Amino acid sequence: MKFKTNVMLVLFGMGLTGMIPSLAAAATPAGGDVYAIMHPGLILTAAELRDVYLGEKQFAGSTRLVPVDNSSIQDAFLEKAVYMETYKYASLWIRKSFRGGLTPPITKSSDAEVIAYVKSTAGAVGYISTPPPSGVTQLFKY
Amino acid sequence: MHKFYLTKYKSGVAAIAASSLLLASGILASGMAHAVDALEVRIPVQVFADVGAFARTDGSATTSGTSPTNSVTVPERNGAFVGTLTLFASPQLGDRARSLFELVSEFNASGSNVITVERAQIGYAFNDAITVWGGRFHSPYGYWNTAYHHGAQLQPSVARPVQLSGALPAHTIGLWVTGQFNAGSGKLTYDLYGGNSTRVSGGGIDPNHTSGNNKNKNIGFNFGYNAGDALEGLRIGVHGLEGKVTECASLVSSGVNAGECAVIPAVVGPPAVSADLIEKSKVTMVGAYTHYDNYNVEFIAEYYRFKNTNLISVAAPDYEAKSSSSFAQLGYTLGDWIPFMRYEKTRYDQADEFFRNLSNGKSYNKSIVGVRYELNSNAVLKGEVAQIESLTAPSLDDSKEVRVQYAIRF
Repeated sequence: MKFKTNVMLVLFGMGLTGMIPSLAAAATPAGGDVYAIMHPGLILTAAELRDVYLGEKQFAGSTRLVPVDNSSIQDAFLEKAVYMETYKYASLWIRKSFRGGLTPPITKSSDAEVIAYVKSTAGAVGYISTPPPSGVTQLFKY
Repeated sequence: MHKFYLTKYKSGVAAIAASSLLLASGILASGMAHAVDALEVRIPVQVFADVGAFARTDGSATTSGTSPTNSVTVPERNGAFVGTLTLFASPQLGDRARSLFELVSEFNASGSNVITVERAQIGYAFNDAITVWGGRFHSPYGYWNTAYHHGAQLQPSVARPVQLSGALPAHTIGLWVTGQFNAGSGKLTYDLYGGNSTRVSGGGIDPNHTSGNNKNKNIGFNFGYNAGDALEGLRIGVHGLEGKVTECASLVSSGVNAGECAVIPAVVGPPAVSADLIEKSKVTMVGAYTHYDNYNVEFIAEYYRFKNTNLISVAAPDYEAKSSSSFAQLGYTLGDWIPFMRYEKTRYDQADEFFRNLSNGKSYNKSIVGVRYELNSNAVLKGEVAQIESLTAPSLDDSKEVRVQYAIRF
């Protein structure tokens, strides 16, 4: 009984002490600009863009959204737009996939590949490190 | 994350396969035909595996308990174990058609290797608010049952809560409708599901894969809220489940139909769904749960309240039994280390025909302290120490156990 009581006390103690300092924690933005882009014809809010990359939003009207990651600037994008560290992002998608059968974003390795994919794919959303060319819509600059 | 993909097709073969699945799932209505337009088949594949060892202070071979991974009920023994080998694939077939398959290889109580289809779901996403799945799926109650289940590398502890191992219908064969809506800074989520009624067989729960042996159905719900802004990472929810549980009057002991219900002449036995099945009890569960995962803290708590009715019972006919089960677990991330603690508690009325006939339908208290060490994003080492207080005769013994586990995913 004493063991049980101690366990419960430590459980809630850890919870409180863990949450209080962390509430004040703030992410430090990484350097370099990041441009979020999208296939022409659709617009997303910043919150919706974040939801797309977290697997919380999969459709815009009748259009299926197709997020694509850019490995060359993924860390910066996740920090600035998704507010999440890369390893947590990977872990989140493993859980999403295991739990609900969701498919993680496709990963491209350069701006050029991302631009080409977003241009050619309806509903595609991506991010690049330079101002976007014609043929894609700029959503946000971070 | 591209490493997860076994292959990627844009071929005619894939188109035919995907179209066949769409047709087979019976959802190719005229308004949905556009789903085939931008057809692209992506097949994320993952494998989970684990090995480990455990020791229990009483070491009794006759003490009923659960296997190291709580997959099946076996007599407790000390030593090494090979856990479950899970092959998981979630092919996405075009814009809206979904599928999810999970094959599990594990060892049963007698030491024989058994391969089971853990999940086989085919679904269709209409939009963010409605996705419909059909097949065998993890019953969406609480958080743990759908989040971890056989994914040992994902699971924060070595063993899952015992109450989630064979005291609730963890799988459903039927339909599952799920979705979410924006609500303030967060999201409201729902799960509605129904399927074949549960059968108790050999002390375990059988979800009745092929249906047909009785007319009853299980139905359940799970309504939740995923908070946003300052409380992001917090999920709260309520869940419920109801169904009539049947039990075979007797089982075929050998031959190709071993383990199936024996056919009994219709005049034998009490009035029931059929002469072969006894409609034992009506199970009604409601409860609540919460999960928080942010700022290095992961907290899970689940509560289940049962009000079961004995439909046929020699000992207590028409008896309404009230039982409950709950657990709470807290983990805190310190770099690669995640120490955790969990407390489990069940109070199952043993006059309840449902719990009385289940190997894990016993009352107990269990306190666990452990640690998880992330070797890398694909491999973890876990260890835990537990103290168990059994409250149901004849196993009124207290015991302690130690478990270690090495779990990987690739």
